Amino acid sequence: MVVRFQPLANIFDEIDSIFNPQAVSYPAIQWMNRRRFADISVKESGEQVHVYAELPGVAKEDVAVNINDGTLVISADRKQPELKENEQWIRNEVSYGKIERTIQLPYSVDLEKVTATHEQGILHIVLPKHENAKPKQISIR
Amino acid sequence: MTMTNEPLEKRPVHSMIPAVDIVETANSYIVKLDIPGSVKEKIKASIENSTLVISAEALEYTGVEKSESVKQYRREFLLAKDIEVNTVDAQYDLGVLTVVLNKKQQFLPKQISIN
Repeated sequence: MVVRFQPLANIFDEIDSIFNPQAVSYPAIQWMNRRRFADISVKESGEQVHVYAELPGVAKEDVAVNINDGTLVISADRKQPELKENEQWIRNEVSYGKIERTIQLPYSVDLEKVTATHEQGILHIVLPKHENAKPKQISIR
Repeated sequence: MTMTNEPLEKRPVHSMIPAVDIVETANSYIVKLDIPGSVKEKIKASIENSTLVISAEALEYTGVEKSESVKQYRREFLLAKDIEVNTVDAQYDLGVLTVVLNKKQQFLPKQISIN
């Protein structure tokens, strides 16, 4: 049998396939390899900085946003569901517990005007730039 | 991710496999999938050939506003024989899709009374 040479890109799949041939293409394994929680995106528009954090399954009251000295701290607590007596786990890929993400803000922001919403698992923070960080048009004399 | 020859004007799509939790209760299986940032209308759940197929779309928030990309979630589950496919219930809340698969009557635990 001729097998095309593949460089090291699939080295982990190769190792997996030696130990457990069935597991290689299993979706959960692929997913575990890039398992993450609270993915964060930061977007900048002219006068605002937008921060989005993925926090599925986290209730609004379990999310806290703090800004201190140019650092934005997002803390969230995803509560582990309690199983009743006759219930049992079949599969558990979701991570539970407390998580904290810290972001260094790229601009100084107007702390009084910061707003945050939490909808369908997305925390959206709008941080208006401070007066001296906004883009300025300089008139030429 | 593999390179494709798709036209550039097409919005980039990110394929995601949603994380899943499955809990078995006495008379059902509760399947929970993390699909943050979607809306009810963009989520599809169907059962075909005893396979539960979940697919959903959510906006991805990276990059510049004009080049918004899309996250596409998809996952399939092969259903066991004890599931009643006609009474499946799904609900979307806090970015989590909950699907309740009821067990067929004949597979439910029974209490046998002793005379």
